[in-house]
Amino acid sequence: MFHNERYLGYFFIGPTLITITLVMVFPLIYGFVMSFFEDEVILTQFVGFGNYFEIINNPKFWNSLMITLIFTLSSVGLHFVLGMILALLLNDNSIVNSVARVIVLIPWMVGESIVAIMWKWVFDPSFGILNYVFTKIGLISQNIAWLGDPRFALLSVIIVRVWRGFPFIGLLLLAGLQAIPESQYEAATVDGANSWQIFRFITLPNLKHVITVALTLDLIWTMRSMALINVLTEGGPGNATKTIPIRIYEEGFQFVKLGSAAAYSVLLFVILIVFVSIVILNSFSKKQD
Amino acid sequence: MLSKHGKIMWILGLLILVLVSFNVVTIAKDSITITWMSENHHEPQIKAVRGKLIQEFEELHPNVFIMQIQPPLEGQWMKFSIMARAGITPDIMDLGCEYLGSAVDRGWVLNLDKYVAEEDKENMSKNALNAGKVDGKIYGWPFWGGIYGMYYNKRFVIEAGLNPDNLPETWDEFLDWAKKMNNPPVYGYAGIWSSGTLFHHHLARLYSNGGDILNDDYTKCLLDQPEAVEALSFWTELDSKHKVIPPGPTTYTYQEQTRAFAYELAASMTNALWAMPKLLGDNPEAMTDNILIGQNPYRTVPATYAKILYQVIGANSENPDIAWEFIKYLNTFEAATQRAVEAKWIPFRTDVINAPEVQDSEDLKQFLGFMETAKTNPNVPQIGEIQSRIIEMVQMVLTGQATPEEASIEATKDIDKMLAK
Amino acid sequence: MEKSKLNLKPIFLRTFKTLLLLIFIFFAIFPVFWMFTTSIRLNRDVFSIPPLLWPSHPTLEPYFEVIKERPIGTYFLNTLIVAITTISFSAPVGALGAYGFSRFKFKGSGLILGFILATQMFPYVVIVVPYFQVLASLKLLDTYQGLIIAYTSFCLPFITWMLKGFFDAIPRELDEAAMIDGCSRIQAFIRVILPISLPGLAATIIFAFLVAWNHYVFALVLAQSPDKMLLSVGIPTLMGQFAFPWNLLMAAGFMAILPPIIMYSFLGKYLVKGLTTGAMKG
Repeated sequence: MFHNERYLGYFFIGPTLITITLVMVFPLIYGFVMSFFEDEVILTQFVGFGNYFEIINNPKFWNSLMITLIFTLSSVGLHFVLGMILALLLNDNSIVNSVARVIVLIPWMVGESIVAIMWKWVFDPSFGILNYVFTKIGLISQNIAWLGDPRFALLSVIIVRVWRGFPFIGLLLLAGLQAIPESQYEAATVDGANSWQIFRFITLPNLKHVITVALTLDLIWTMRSMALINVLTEGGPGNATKTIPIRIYEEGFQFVKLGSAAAYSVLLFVILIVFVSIVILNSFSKKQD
Repeated sequence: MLSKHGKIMWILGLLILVLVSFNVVTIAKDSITITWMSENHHEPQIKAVRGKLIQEFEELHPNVFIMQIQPPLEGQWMKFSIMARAGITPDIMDLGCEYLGSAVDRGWVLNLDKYVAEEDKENMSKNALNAGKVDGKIYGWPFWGGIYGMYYNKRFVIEAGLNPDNLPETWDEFLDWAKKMNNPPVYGYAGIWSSGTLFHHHLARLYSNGGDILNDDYTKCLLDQPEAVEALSFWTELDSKHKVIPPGPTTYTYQEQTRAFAYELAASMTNALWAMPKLLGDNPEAMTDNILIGQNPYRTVPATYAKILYQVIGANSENPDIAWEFIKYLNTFEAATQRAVEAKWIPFRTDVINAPEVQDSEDLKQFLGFMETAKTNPNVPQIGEIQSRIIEMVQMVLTGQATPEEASIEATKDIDKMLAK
Repeated sequence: MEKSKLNLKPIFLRTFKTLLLLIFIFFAIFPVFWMFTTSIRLNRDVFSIPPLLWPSHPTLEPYFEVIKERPIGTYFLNTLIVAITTISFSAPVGALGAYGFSRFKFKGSGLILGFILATQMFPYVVIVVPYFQVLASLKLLDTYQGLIIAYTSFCLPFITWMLKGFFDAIPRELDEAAMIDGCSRIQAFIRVILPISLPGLAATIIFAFLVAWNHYVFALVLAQSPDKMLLSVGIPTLMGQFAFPWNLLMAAGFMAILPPIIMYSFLGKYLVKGLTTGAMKG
């Protein structure tokens, strides 16, 4: 950054900062403040950290937390593995690939409620295609209730989330791959590197920034996601897929306890800050390449 | 570079921005808009009837315009509660009995006592009228409802050697039938074990064993009483012990249940009259003339549950008088009779119940016969939370994560805590 | 590179890659394909045991019925207006901001960026309550402006954050080289950096548009009258308590992805390497 450019920085960042402040600050402050109130039927009174104590002492919160973590980390992890493979496959600019790129993004284009309804049908024990195919090829002997069996529900929900997200990550990574200069690959091949070495020492480091961005976004979105699970299982069976966002929705609307819902949201926020910070700090330390 | 496309997008964006800032509103100057929020406006069996009534009302009142607001299913309560918090409410709303308690307590709906005339009260079924009261005051005007009975597939009944003229009345008789008709892939019984309706079904079973959720003054939860535990264990054992329920019950919402029955994968199901058009629509070949309707099975006392939908007037309505006029219009004798016969809604007006057209309709008459023993849920403020807790309780037992006793005791403890606040 | 007839490795590799790609495509596309086949069935053919892959009597009737049953044109128009306006505003602002965050590291810039990211960490269902109240008091409920403001609240941070990542991947030396050649900072940004980041730019805009296109919560709460309803809220109204026409629902869902696909075919070509290598060598 050049010496006389200090104020130029403000010019670039200014509009973004001002807009976001205008459209987000009040709602966020409201959310924080609300969490210190008990907002139930009849009374709305200040309870300080009362909501937080109640939540932390509730074993169901910790159960939801664990489910949320499992759901988020598995989904995001699989997004990246599958996304990376997809991006590498689509990297050549053949005609097949340009068609494939459109096709593969289509799952992401469909609205979430329709996607969820569709997958619910696929998983249906009696009418669904999954059980039909599996029993036909002899993988299972009797119909499995994918979304109705506490053993499989979380797994099924993760599958849907992965299906939904991996094209997004894949295409992001693809865009990043496309920006890697050909010269670096050529130099590496001249030096005698094999494909795995090229991947590790040329591809990945160049993708570092895109990966950081994609990872943080995916973490935030997945941890916040509610509509998908709500339609698939409503958090059931029992509490097997009840993530924190579903609890927030329940508390805030079904139970009409907005204060409690706000407190849950703040806790979710804290967890997200921790995860995102880990990712960002990690990428900073790697910067010393 | 980006120049060509970028420029086009910029210009497009600016154009739209300009267009948009001239939001054109096309409502005539001195007309009054009455907003009517309901999740059911677009349902095929309801749409035509409502449209006609709206048109007629607007002709009678030329300066009134009725705007139908249709949130998607399950989205209405969220939308309403957010609006109401900000002091904005629709004029009229179709509100389910599982939300009335909460809405009244937050002051989101109007007390209707000053609008309701004596004759309106006389014409309304006593039970239904009382169901819409909270603390003795009328808040919800019974609009339509569903009373739960048991549907049977006639063909399976006969094939199992059972007598279609002597449908089961008690739990044990029902279980016997379910077992006899159970022949996987066809199962004996399809229930709803997911989402809100599980709550209603569970109450139907609870009441038919003489149990209840709360005691008379709503201070104590009674789910740990023997009758309640029995209701819970008997009906979940349909899956765990007798295996007469299709697999994956906790994914069964109203859709899955009616679908299973319609496609003849289940021989019986607990449902109300409104399921009839759905069954006939889903699979007319198999369902026509193949449905038998029996009462909700009981153990100690014949009883069933009535899910009532009320019409309420939003607390911040600017035209409550006109809103009430419209509600009354929707509930005139003619309108209610038509709705009952065409759209299969359970009427609550006593004169409609006794009207010849209604009495002539076989299935209507049968379900109306259950009205004597039907009860709805209590209108306590915590009803939303209680509903969710009961759903959890049943699902825990159903999926083998808790025994009926454990789940009942846990639920009672939690609900007592909710009541104590 | 010598091509030896005995060297099967490249062929084997290519086949393997194609096979893998096909598996991915199959996994990605199969449910959508299932959606499509459902959308061309009559209601009574929707469910069957065993499930039928292709209907016995395919028909386009459901599509026409959807158009009859719902004012889907209005839904489309509304969603287009909101989504395009939001993106048209957020993309340039976000690009500027992203460049600023990427190249200018003054005190507090990290904190500001963190703040922008943090605004996304709250679930919509809680945010929407105060949003409703604010818009209500500003009389912006049920208006395009209100929706656009709300949509900007999640589109702008998303675009800024994503573009920052793509800009970070472009070495500073290029900016400096351009400025040494006589460009101002802004000119360097527009003439050098933006073209190189085209794949990232295209990807970001496509995704931001999709996010806005399918957004549900704000559309549900902040719009009320039938003529302001958006697609994401209008289509689920086909799911009724007493009638659930799967074929109509899937047909509507399919119609809804048409604009995104069109937009994608316009912008998709920018995701390609070719246009960038020229600038790099310069």
